[in-house]
Amino acid sequence: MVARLIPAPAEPADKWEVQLRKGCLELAILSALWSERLYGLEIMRRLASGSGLNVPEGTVYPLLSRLKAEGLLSSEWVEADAGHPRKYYRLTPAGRRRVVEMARFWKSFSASLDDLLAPVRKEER
Amino acid sequence: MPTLVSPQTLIDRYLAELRRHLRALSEEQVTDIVEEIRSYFRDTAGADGAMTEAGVHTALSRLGPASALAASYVTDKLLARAQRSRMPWTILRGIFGWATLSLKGFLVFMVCLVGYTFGASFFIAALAKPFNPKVGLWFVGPDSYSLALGMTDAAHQGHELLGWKLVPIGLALGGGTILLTTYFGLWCIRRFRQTRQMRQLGEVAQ
Repeated sequence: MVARLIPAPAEPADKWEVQLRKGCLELAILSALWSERLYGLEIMRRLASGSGLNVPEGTVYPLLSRLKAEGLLSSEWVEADAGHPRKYYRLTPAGRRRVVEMARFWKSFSASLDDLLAPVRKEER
Repeated sequence: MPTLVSPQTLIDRYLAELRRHLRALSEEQVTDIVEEIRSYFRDTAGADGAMTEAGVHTALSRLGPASALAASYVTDKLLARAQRSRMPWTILRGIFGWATLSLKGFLVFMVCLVGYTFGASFFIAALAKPFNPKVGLWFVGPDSYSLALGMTDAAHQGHELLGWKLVPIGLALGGGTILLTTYFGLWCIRRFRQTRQMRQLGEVAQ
């Protein structure tokens, strides 16, 4: 009975990693679209090469649809050189503001965390 | 293991199934989603534009089952709309989409349906009472021992329990139940969307 009252142990590392990636995925997608419009597969390739986020298509497409519904992205169909139309996404003004806010927070948060982690890294060496 | 089905047939079947499961959305939205996935299949083809069976299977596994992919679009759209509007009808409609996916969704839908029906019955009865005094909470007995809210043909056999108190009690009880059901529905929707996103994003870590 007493044991049940003891707080649960900390989350396993893999669960923590999922939480972290969850928080970053939206920022990663919006950032990938900062300088140019991209279509779905291009966004996934950009995420994989730029941040190591190997996101399945079944996750990205509905997420892009949600970001569009929230007014952060807009889309347009473009007849591509590939011979078939592609749906390109670009940031809306609201999306650009959101990325700036997220990036600002990310920068200050990671800097604070770096300070905290400094002794840990020192110990590791 | 090679199959007798051509890659193009596999794609067509997948897209047809996706379209079928997206039927809760407007035709414009369905076409937009299906064409985007079709475009994705074409992008994964080789330089000559031809798709191999192995390539199609890889693409299909990364998309997941058509029903699950459609559910991600439909449920999220309906539930997001419900969260934004906070109106009982859109909440019920959103939860109905969830109910088609799981037993938990079905139970939440049933609780909300009962809550809204109960709340609306009392609320409407309270509003109607001043215009029609026959409206009330009737104890219909002694044979049936049942309660009837509203106008009942059997009213002459029983007696009214609340009288004019139905107006304040009905408004408070009805309005309160509708409000509580709305909060409960929105809380469940929020929890479900968070869990669903976590589950989908769990695949990101693998």
